[in-house]
Parts: sequence; structure tokens; C-alpha cells
Amino acid sequence: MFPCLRTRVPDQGTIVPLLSTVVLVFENTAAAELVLGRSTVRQRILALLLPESAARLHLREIQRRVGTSPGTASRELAKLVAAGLIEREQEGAQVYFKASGTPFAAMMRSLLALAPPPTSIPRPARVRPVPGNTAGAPASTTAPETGRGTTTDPAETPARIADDRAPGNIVATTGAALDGPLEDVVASAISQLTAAASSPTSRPLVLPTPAGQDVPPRIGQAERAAAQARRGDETTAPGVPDRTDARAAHESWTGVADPALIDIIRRRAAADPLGLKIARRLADSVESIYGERLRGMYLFGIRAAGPADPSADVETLVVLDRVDKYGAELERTSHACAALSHEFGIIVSRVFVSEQDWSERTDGSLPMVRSEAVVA
Amino acid sequence: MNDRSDQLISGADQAIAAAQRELGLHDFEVAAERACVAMLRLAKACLDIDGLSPGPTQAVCTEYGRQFGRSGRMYSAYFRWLLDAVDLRKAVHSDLTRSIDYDASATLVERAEIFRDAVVRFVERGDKWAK
Repeated sequence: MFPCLRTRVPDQGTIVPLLSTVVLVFENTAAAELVLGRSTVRQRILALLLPESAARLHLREIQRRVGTSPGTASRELAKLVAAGLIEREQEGAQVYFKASGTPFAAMMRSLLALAPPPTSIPRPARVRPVPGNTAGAPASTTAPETGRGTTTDPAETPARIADDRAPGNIVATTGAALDGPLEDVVASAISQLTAAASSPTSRPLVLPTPAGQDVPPRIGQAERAAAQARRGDETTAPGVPDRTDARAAHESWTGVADPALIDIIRRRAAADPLGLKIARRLADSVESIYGERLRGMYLFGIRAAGPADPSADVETLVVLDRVDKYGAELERTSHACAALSHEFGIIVSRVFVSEQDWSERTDGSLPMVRSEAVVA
Repeated sequence: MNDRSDQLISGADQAIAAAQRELGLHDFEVAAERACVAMLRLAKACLDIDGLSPGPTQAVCTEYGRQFGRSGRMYSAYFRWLLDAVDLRKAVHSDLTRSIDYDASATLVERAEIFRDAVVRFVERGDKWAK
């Protein structure tokens, strides 16, 4: 687990996601994939070698401390050496590894150094107690093979990353709200990662949008965003944005625009909160009814435009793979609508549109609805 | 039954007759629209018993749901039917959908007839269960 940092985005006042989310944001880029990626072994090696206090270590020592096989450690070290984060020194038959002096390595070190001791933990930490150790004992990492434990003061090691597979080790996510200089560090990190992402080998981050058209959010994407947003409402801790927000924040930093996604977030922020809440509730019910057939769920009308009169209708639009029998679809969702109408004392209405019409129709009032619809 | 309720139920009867006629002519959208008008008039007739006379469609539905749907003074399905009817009419008016078919219109007309009979019983008996 990578250490978690949290800061504020200067531009939009959005809470920056956990560093692990930053990793997620950039995991599609070639450099980030190489440096951070999904390999916990690589992350543990970085945490071991990057701090300034860290001495150079030979392969067997790294392998033992990280808790992996020599082959895996060797492979990951080779990648880090290639990325310029780690340097390799050979003395006779012995090969040592240490942090390199490149700006990228310095930036990564700064991030690690600014991570405070684990005074607050944004996510529940998985703690595996040391066998025979008592609760409240100092955090320690123990070499299981030798039994020679090295007790470490958390203050000495900003980010403790240990092997969660090796018995006796402690795995914890460190994190705390940071401000001030870290913003600069994060901005620097973002710019460097972005520069790396712009290399020819990286995949593009910009979602395609036909130029010059008022095109609605693509259905699959919008639905995924809505689902993420709904999950975020239930599971994300306050102040920790969901991945949709993280992507938007990333794009605001990097200037890499994702118009559809930005538009979704902007519209959702402007919509009437009660209308959005009811539409989300209806979306949950409709999703359970239609499953894979549901392609999108939107709030439109007066409540999509902004805060509305308390008695105003909640108008929703349900995009299905096809709409053969309109009456049948009304009947299927009738109970859900009536229940919500009873609960909130507001009329909840729905309109069914086929996926094809939603994507392609340019006549009638559908284009206007598309332009104002908010993903529920 | 007071004069206003009588007028509303008469108007609902006329709307239902028009809906049936349009259904026979395969003008499903007009049929659905007339059936919806009938159901709204019937809901107003019920509310008139309580001295309520909401004007806009949305207010009629909300008030009917509050007074009769949730309370159980009338069969709760009638409220659902009323919402379905309004939604179907909205779909017709907004041309958002192209798939208003015979089944949807015929179901709505049939529901309007059932609702009419229930409302007539309810209004004649006063504030009693009208299932």
C-alpha cells in the first residue's frame, strides 16, 4: 500500500484524492505504470530506498526486507533503475542499490518525506499483530527468516510499507491532511508525470468528443460515472472525492480536458439536490429492474437546471437498450415511482427512450433534453 | 355528490368515450391523452369531496396521492395508474418517444374506466373505502 497524502487543489478547491488515487489517475500513463503501477513489491522497494536516511542495500537485503523472492526483487529493481529512480553500484561481486539523484527521484522522495507519521488514517488499516507481541507495542518490521527484528520508530520512517504476506509485519496506510508546501510538490509531481504521459508510448487520456457538437455524455461512460458517484455517496469518506472527481481534478491540473466528464460533474453540481437525490433513488430501483438493459438514467427539466420550487416535479429519463412496449415499461417502474412520490410528496415522472434514439435523434425535443440532462 | 363532482365525473365520462373512439381509429396518442384527462378529472372529483380544488396536473397528482393514495382511502393502485397516465401523456406531448402503441393506450383507457367506477362509488358513499 502506498502512503496516502491529501491536499487541496488550487484551481477548483477540490480536495485532492489520496495519493493512491493519484496513482490510479496516472496509472494509464507509461511512466507512472513503470514507476508506481500496481506492483506492491515495487512500491515497497521505493519506500525502502527513497528516504534520504536510507542506505544503499544489496539485493538480498532488499529482497529480505521487502519480503519477496530474489527474482521478483531483481526484476522490479531493474525497472526502477531503468526509470532513473534507483541507481545500481557494483563493488566486486556485490551489487548495491540506492536512490538516484534525478529530479524525479527527488520528487518522489519529497512526497514520501512529507507523509507524516500515522496520526490519522483515512481508511481502516489492516493490522497483523506480531506473534507474541502485545497490543500497543512499537511498530516493527521483522525479518522472519532470521528473527532479527528491527524496531523502527514511526517518526524516523515517514512511510512504513511492509509486507502483508510475511508474518509479523504490520501493514498500515498512513495519511493525514497536509497543506502548504505539499501543494507545490504535488503540482511538480503532476507536471512531471504529465510530461511523461505525453510520450508517444503512453495512451491518450482525452476521451473522444465530436468537435462542434452538443453531444451528450456517452451512455456507458455516463452510467459508469453515475454508478461511481452513487457508490461514492455511500462509501467515500467526507472530503475524499470519488474517482470521477479525481479524474476531473487530474484534468484540471494537467490541462488534458475530458469535456464529457467535466460536463457531467458540472451539471450535477448545479442540479437541484433534492431532485438529484430522488433521481438517484429511482435509478437504483430501475437498475435492479432492468439490469444490463439500463443504459442511462438522467434528471432533466426544471430540477436539472438548478434549485427548484419544492413542489416541482422530478422528471427523469430512462435510457434502455430498446423500448418496444412503452406501457410495459411504465408498468414495470410504476411501484418505484409511486413509492418515491409518496415518500417525498413530489411527483416523480419518467420517460423511456431507447439507446439509439438517445444517441442519434436530432429531431423533436430530445436534443434539448440531452443538453440539460444530468446523470442521476 | 355535489354539483362540481358531478360535473367532473361527467367530463371524465366524455373523455373516456373520446378515448375509446380514438382508440378505435388507431390514434393511440390522442386516446392516451383523453384517458389521462379523464383520470385527472376523476382525481379532482375525489379531492372535491375534501373541499380541495388543485389546479395544475402536478398539484392534482400530489394532492390525490397525499389524500387518497397514502392514506388508503382509495385503492393505492389508482395513484400509480394516475402517475402512469400523466407520464404517458407527457411522453406523447414531448415527442421524446415514438413507441406509444395500442397496448399502452388501451391499458390506459381501461384503467380510466375502472377508476371512473371506483370514484363514482366513492363519491356516492362519501368518505369510505372505494375499492
